[in-house]
Amino acid sequence: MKMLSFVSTALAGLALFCCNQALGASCVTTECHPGISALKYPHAPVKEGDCAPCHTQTVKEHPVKGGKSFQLAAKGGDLCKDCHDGIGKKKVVHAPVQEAECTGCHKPHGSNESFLLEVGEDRSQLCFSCHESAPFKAKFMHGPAAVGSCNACHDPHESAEKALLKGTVREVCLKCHADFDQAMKGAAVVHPPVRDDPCTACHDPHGSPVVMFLKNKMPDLCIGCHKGIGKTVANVKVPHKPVVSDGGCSNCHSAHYAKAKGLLASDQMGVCLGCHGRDDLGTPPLKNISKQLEGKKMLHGPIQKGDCKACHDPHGSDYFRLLRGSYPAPLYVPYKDGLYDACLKCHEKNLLRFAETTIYTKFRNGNRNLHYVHVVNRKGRTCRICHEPHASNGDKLISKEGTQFGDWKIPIGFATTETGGSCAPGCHRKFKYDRVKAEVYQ
Amino acid sequence: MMSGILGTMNSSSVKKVKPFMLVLLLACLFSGCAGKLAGPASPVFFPPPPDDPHIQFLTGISSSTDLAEKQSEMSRLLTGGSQTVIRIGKPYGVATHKGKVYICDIGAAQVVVVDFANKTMKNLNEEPGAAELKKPIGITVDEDGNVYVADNGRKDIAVYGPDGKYLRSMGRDLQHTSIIGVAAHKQYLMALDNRQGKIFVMDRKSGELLTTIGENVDRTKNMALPNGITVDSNGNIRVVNMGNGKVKEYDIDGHLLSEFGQLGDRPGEFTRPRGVAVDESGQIYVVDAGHQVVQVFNNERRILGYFGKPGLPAGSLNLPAGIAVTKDNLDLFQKMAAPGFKLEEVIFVVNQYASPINFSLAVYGLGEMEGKKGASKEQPAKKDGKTADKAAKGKP
Repeated sequence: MKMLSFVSTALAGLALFCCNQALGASCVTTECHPGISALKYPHAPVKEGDCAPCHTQTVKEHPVKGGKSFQLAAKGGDLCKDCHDGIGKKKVVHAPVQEAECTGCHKPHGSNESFLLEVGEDRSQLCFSCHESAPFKAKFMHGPAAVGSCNACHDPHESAEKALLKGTVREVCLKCHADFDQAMKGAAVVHPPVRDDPCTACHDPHGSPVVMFLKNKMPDLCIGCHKGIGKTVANVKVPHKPVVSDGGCSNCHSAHYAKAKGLLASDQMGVCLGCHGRDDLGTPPLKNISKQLEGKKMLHGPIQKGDCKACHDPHGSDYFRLLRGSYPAPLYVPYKDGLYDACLKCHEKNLLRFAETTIYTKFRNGNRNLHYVHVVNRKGRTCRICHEPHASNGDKLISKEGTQFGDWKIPIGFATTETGGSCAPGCHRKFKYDRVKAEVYQ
Repeated sequence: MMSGILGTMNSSSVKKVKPFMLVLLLACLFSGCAGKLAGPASPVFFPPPPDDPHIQFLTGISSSTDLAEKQSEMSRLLTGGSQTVIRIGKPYGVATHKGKVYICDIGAAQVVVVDFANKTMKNLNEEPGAAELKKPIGITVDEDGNVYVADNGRKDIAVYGPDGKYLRSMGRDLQHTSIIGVAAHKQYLMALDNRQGKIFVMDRKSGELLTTIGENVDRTKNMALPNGITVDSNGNIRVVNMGNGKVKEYDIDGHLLSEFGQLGDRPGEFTRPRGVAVDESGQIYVVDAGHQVVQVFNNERRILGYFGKPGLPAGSLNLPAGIAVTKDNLDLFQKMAAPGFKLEEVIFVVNQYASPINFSLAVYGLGEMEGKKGASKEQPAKKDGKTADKAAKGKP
């Protein structure tokens, strides 16, 4: 008896199955639901002519004018879940998925574009139907955002990362920017936020009004972290021109990684001479420092180390020639404490304080301090009248060729002996000096 | 305690115990209190907790028994021999050179040399006649190890070789009245005359007078009852003045480079300043016999703190005088420091009066607790800093 009941049920099921197949084939004809058969990418059950998993006939007659003889097998997302199970279980779920509004994006029967979407690779129209489109019309756009490839970075259904990203921000960025990733791994110096933080710390991944879709313009973006430099640039009398020109910080520094310390493209002096090794920098043109250094026997200590910033502040300064300390702009200024700090922060700070000394300088006649005579007395000759700040062919950075005095190069005519020396410049007649046995001047 | 234990035993057990007790007693007598230098039971820090410590009182020496391993009466009786105890009487000036500490003992008219590494303490020179000291007050050691002693009784500077042998007298031909301090730097020897307020800068080998400091027509640049002198690694002289409470800095030529301080009782002020020392980072230590503290200033002459204030069971000062700073033998003194307190330099301060809690020579360590950023890092070291184990001395 039981066996009989089972067989009859099985036969009934088989009959229903056969009947449904016949139903699907008859649904999509030239007269009925013709649009569905024309779809380029039909939904799999549609392609197989299997309407029954989704549509259940409730009234025998079909079609019924002004009425419905079919209803959906389940409501909303539950209808899709039977086949598309497992979507929406990750940490972050797209709102339509969470609300089971699959048809908000997908066409259930099929579409002329893939993924049952009405849009192709450019998803912008679909996404902007909910998301604000304004940020995607910035002057400088990230490539994928510009062409509507939202799905290049975002998963439309769910993700373990915020903003439905397909991985961490770095992973997502470096998956495309693989060449950047490789170069960064081989770089000597990497900017810490580039090494440790998401790229979105500086870049807007969609677009921004600033070139390279930066979150802020240069140098403001950099100053956000490098506050000390920002303060310097804002407050100094003379900021270094590249800092406040187009490109800002990036005129000297690489934002991401570099070969040299300070994220410089090359060694410090190389970067400086990139501009200051030309004859046409500024109006009137600044001195060509490369020419000043070329072939010189003696280089100033910091220059020997390639350290321009030992004396100059590359961001800006209140002092003459962007120096790091006070130094007179006029040629003649008598010494006062503090006035020559640019030089005396390294050189003997008591050099010009005492008329007589045995310890602070070798340029003396007996104990008479001849630096004091030149710089403190009367006229006050600045260091640069006798000494070249960068390089010279003579000892003590005293130029053999003479020092520029308007149109004339004043010869210095300086020579040393074991206990003193002599000077025969264009300033006065030849004088000798001797530390041990003082010369007597008539 | 022992009688209590014996009292509970019967007579046979007493018989057995007696030889054991004898061995124990002998062992105690032989061993004495071997080996440990005198020092406080628990660390004495300045400033005291809860502040981060910067200076620790390490140990003190008043006599050779504080330094050497103590030998018990019984062991001496059994092994024979005698022990000469050197006791520091009334010390004043102090200097340190290559791990040794040289102390002027006015009471004994001697210079006592303490060698912590070898645990010895002996007189510098015991020759009769010209080598004898009368009232040694100030002392310094030059880079060759020669010792210069300013003696106010002899009215000269007695010079001894590195081996303690008397070499010569210096400064007798100077127009001086009372030389109470000396300091050596490279080829120079500086002698401080406290009554005239002058420093004589001499060639240390020839004795030739090169400069006399303190004769400026602007009297504010001169000294006022100077009482202690030292020279730093750059050759700049520091002299403390009782007359106006100032610490003045002169160069070898006698130019006044800087000055700070005044009479008073606030931090950074002095009542009776005496010894002064400058370490190689430029930190300045000034002993004050009035407040009985040592005040510490950075190389920009800002006060960092003080140590040694009376009232502590250990580590306080008792009429302090000379001071000297060194980095020699740091490993040795590190063993006396509290766990985790890393020493950077050692400071020797003499107390004119010793007591059960005050030693004639008090030893302190400057440092910081590991893992904490302390005052010793508050100032950058001078780029050309060299060893500055020079002494500070002055008038008693």
